[in-house]
Amino acid sequence: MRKIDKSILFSTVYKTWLEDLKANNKLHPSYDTYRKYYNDVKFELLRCQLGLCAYTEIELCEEDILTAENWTNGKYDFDKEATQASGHIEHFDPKLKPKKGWLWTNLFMVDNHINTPVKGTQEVDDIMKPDADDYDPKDRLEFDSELNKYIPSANKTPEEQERIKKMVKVLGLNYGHISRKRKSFIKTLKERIETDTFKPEAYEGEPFPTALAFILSEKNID
Amino acid sequence: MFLKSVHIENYNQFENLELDLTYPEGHAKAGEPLEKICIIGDNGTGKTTILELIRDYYNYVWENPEEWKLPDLEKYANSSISFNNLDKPERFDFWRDSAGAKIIYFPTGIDVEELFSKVGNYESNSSEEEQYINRVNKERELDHKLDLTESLFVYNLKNTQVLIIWERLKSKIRPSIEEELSYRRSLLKGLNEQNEAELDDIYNKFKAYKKKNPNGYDDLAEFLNPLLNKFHLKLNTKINLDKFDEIEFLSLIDKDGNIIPIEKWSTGIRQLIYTVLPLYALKPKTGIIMIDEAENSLYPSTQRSIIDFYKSVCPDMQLIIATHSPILASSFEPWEVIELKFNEKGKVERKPYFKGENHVDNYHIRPMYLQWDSLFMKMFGLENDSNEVRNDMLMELAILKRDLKNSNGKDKKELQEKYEKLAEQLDWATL
Repeated sequence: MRKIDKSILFSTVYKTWLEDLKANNKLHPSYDTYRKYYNDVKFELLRCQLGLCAYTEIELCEEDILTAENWTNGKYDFDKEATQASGHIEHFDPKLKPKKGWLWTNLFMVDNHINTPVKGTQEVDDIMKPDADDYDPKDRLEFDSELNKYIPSANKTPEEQERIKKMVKVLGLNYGHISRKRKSFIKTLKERIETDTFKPEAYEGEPFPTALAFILSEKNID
Repeated sequence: MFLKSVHIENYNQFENLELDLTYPEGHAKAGEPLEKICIIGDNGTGKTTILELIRDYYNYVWENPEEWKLPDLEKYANSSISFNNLDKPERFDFWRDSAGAKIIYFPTGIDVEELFSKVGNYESNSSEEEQYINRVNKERELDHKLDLTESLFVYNLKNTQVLIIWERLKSKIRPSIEEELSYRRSLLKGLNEQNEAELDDIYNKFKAYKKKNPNGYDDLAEFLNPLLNKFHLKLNTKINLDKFDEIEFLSLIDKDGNIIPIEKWSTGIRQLIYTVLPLYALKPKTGIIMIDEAENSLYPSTQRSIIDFYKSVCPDMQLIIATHSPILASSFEPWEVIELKFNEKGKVERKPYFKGENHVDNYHIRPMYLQWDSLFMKMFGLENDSNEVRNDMLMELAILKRDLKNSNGKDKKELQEKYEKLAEQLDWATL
């Protein structure tokens, strides 16, 4: 799970609306019924996340629908037929959803199967919030590339390790179908390294960048 | 007659389902109907519906043979044919061979116990004359129920007692038994029981005869035993041929020769006999065999060989099965598998296993190449390759491994024991 920079670049109408709500101390309209900025939020999030699930890093859409040309006058040009993206908008802290359903810092785009059956409304811990100022995957996590599992970093205190371990489960970082896809990715990557056919540029914008970074570090490849 | 394509429009969960049931380009039989087909999909995707539609459509055609005109069946699409609960008629294209057409259908939801219920209730004490009359009546009944000599007919196993099949089979076997009895009598005529050399000679002659002329019951044993062996059973061949007509049903024995009474047969054995015996008795040569939930009550090791077994019984028939079993699905080529899936609109469509042109080289899933867990995940919609507890324990194992690597102290041995014990429980081979 990478650190995500969530600076809003293109969905500026939504950004202004949100700032106005905050400045005037207004309640957010219901997330479930108010859909005015849904696509602006969804595709801005996907852009920040480079088309990948915020937590598990599996692919949700192609990056070509996330370039500046897809926004006009601060709104995303949504085309039902042409715009193909999977995933759900997810509220990191579910307790904020009723009153601050459109709070930018609480939203992430997440794989459908992680959002509902896995994470759901479980309690969260900011120690594993991907856009938190102090979040750094190498500080929080280690990756066992043979067992294909993220575990808490040994450098954290036992209490912190327990908190991280709990969040690894909540966010589905090692969940079944994710692990399965990642296993194929790791296998291919290691084969390429072994056969000297690994090309870093082939992995730009690809799924599982954090696993990739851990494995390259393990193999002492820059 | 083989099924070549299915088109279903606006019926139940189907909006516009088009199934091409021919071999793809690049295959030696490209364009010809598939010899075996496996329908898979979640509950409610319509596997049984498709089998029943084929059956019903076929019944219709049979009842209206003058309408049977191949390959153009377009008129049915716009006609007022009445199908079961259909708003709009479905159209199936059949490929018909010269030998005529038949469908044998084994539906699911059969009470296998009920099918076997009358076995053992025969009036074995009746006089010879009564037995003869009974036999003639039964054969008449059989002719009515089982006659597959008509060119078009759907044989639905739902209402057929296994006992009737057995009687049919007996009538086929009987001549070979009578022949053997007659040979035996001729050998024994004028035998001097005191002459041991003569006895040996007769025994050897009879042995040679049996080798050359196995009777129908011997053939049945040879056919059934490979399958029965999987259940540690075999057909009892030590029967009194003089009283062959009185044999109520198949007699099975265990490895020690003990007879296993029919009421003690497992559901798996009954299920198997329910499908295999009719195929053996009827020996259909052409047409379609349809089996719904073909894995019913069968243990995985038996499932592994059942498709090959069915094909060996009726090599020239088209076999269509519906199943929830990845093991059964792994007996099929990818172009032989129809995976039904709900789309976003809640309608059912076929999930393609190829990209681009329908060519053998473009298939990205090969069921025969996959491990069971891959089959579950790639073809049966399972998200995980194991219980989530295993996943959690793998994480624990990774933590133990890390601690073991980092440990230099006296806890290293304890950590190693813990690590290896957990690894064994998780199955080293799969880590």
